[in-house]
Amino acid sequence: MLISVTTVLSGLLADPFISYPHLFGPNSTFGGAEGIAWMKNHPYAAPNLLCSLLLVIEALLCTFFLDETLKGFTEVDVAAFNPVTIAKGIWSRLTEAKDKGYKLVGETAMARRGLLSGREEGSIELDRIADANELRERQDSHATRPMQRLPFRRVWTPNVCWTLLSIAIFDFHMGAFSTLWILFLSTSREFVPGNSTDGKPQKQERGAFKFGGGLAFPPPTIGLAMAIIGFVGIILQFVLYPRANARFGLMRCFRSSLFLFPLAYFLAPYIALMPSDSASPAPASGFWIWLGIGGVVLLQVAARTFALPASILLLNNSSPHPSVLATIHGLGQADSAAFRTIGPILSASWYGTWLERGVVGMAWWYVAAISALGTAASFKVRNGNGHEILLPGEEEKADEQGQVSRGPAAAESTRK
Amino acid sequence: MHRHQYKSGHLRQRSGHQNAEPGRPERDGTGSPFGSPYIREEEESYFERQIPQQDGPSSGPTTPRTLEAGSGLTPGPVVSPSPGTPSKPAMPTRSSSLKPYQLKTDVVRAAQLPEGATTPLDNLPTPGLVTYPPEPATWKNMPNKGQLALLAASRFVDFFQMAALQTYMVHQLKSFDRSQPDSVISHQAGMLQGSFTAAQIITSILWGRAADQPGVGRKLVLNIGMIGTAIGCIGVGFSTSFHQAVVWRVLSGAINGTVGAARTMVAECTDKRWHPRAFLLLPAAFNVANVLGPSKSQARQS
Repeated sequence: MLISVTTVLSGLLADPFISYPHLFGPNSTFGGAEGIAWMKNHPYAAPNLLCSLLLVIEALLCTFFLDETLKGFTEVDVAAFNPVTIAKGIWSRLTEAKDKGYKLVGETAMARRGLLSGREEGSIELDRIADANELRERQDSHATRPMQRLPFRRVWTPNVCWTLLSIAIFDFHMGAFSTLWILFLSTSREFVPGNSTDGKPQKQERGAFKFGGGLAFPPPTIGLAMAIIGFVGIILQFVLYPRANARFGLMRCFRSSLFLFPLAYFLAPYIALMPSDSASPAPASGFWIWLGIGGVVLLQVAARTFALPASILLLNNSSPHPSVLATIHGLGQADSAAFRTIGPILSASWYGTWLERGVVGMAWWYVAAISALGTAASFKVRNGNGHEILLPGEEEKADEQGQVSRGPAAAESTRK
Repeated sequence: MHRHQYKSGHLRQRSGHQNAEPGRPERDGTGSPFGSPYIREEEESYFERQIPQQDGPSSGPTTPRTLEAGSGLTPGPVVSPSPGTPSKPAMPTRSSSLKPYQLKTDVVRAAQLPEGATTPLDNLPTPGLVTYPPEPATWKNMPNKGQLALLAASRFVDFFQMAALQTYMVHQLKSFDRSQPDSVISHQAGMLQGSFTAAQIITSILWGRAADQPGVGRKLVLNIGMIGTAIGCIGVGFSTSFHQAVVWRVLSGAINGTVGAARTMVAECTDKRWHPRAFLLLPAAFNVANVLGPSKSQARQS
């Protein structure tokens, strides 16, 4: 069913000029005599325009209905850019220039202090008024004091670094898996290193670790295998994850799920050794093959279902101060973008190299080793409270909130 | 003064004030003319283990005991269970060792407050029932559902444009130059896909910094990212060569700091208790986009 949905959608918009000549072609409903020129010249513009449309609609919805969540957010004063105000400002500057720069002095604290306070000889009455005004001004500025902000160099707490490392390794092997999986499924079953010059397909000796060849799946079967991944993921995500998280707690779920990745990657190449119903050149098939695929996919998808939201959550909680929360998430985005770019490139080159040497599993096992490193790194990650660094002036507030905020955390620690 | 109430944590600790005559201003160091918490001896009995034996239909495993805050003079959230509380045997076990209590806070208040005085109960976010410990987080009682839906939708449209690009990318690259072999096409496809994320490596940190600036904020970063990516998509659609498409993808990747901004807003518009559920929405949006945005045919190509 998934496949049918995707094929319908992919065929829907690509090259509408060719696909729907009665709508967009020459002498058509919308096309006029010539047809729609941009659809003819740019056959892939239509799906991109659909994406743009969705993005713009969502941006408009966000503009009108989404509330800013940044504490201490100060809206940019649009009045400052009002052309009338600017023109008036320029005009007053010009008239000031006409007055040779003299201007009525405003009632500021500085002016009062300079002109009226007169510590030595001035009137006490005026002095008191000025002091009261100053006090009020200071209180006002205290009330509207902007939120304390943590400087960027203090963001790098050990917990942030370990969390980022953990996410880096996670994203690396996520990217590597999706690449290796497609490569492995589509590699021919008896892959022979080099080109067989004598014309006969030479059989390769097989050991526990040294074996070549994939599953030789045709593209539609690969599509099915990928659709299974997506479907299993959605089900696990909404049914299993919140319950397990509530039952065992975030950290335990996160760490135990990370043990599944090395296992899945270690076992994945052995699907090629499973007994198949069909003989060698034909695509692998049969109960055992699909059992192997299902097992590996279930391990990997279950692990990632638990690890991905938990890693976002841990990153969120590792933030040393609420004022740098978006910075922390930006760092996380950069981190995963980097390693999702590196992962597929590196793993694909490993796969190619070791396939030539007749060991199809080696790329998988490299990735398994790296994911095991990630499991080890995860033990250094702890679940923070999102506010580890107290800036000056926050101690008092933290005291007040201490009892409230410590409550759930303590409850969770007892559960562990 | 109220801070003292909160700090004391438990009502019993206030027994030191019981000797004070009601009505006489008491000095507690804060210089308040009204004295310390407006709790008198007879009122305290309201909070003393009055557990109505309610055997009616229980609402799940968290049927709380209700305490009548008759005078409504108590800081609701700090009523913690005392260790000697007799426990009802029918009480279902909870994962937490704490026992749930509820305070009715919408009871009509007796006129025992001095003129113009307020209690912390007046400033409760939701009048009605205050439960301690808080009731467990579910999908149903999750706050700010509309906001979360908007944020999930913003992730969805972003994933959708990525998935859609993956689908048409190979065909479009072939349409630029029909003579190119498949190996070059697949290399270019990798480059085009990677250019979007590669640009994000640097800029998403800057967008994160910008989202923390009081003058910019998360919402603006989110909106700029989406509008910019929309322009980039149009650019890719009307590109006539591989290099043009790469430039447009780099630009839309560079302007797209939406991941961090959306995650931050999800974190900030829900309480910590709902975070495990709220953060599920973003990968869920990815999964949905992967099913709708036809990325599966990418597998068919490679």
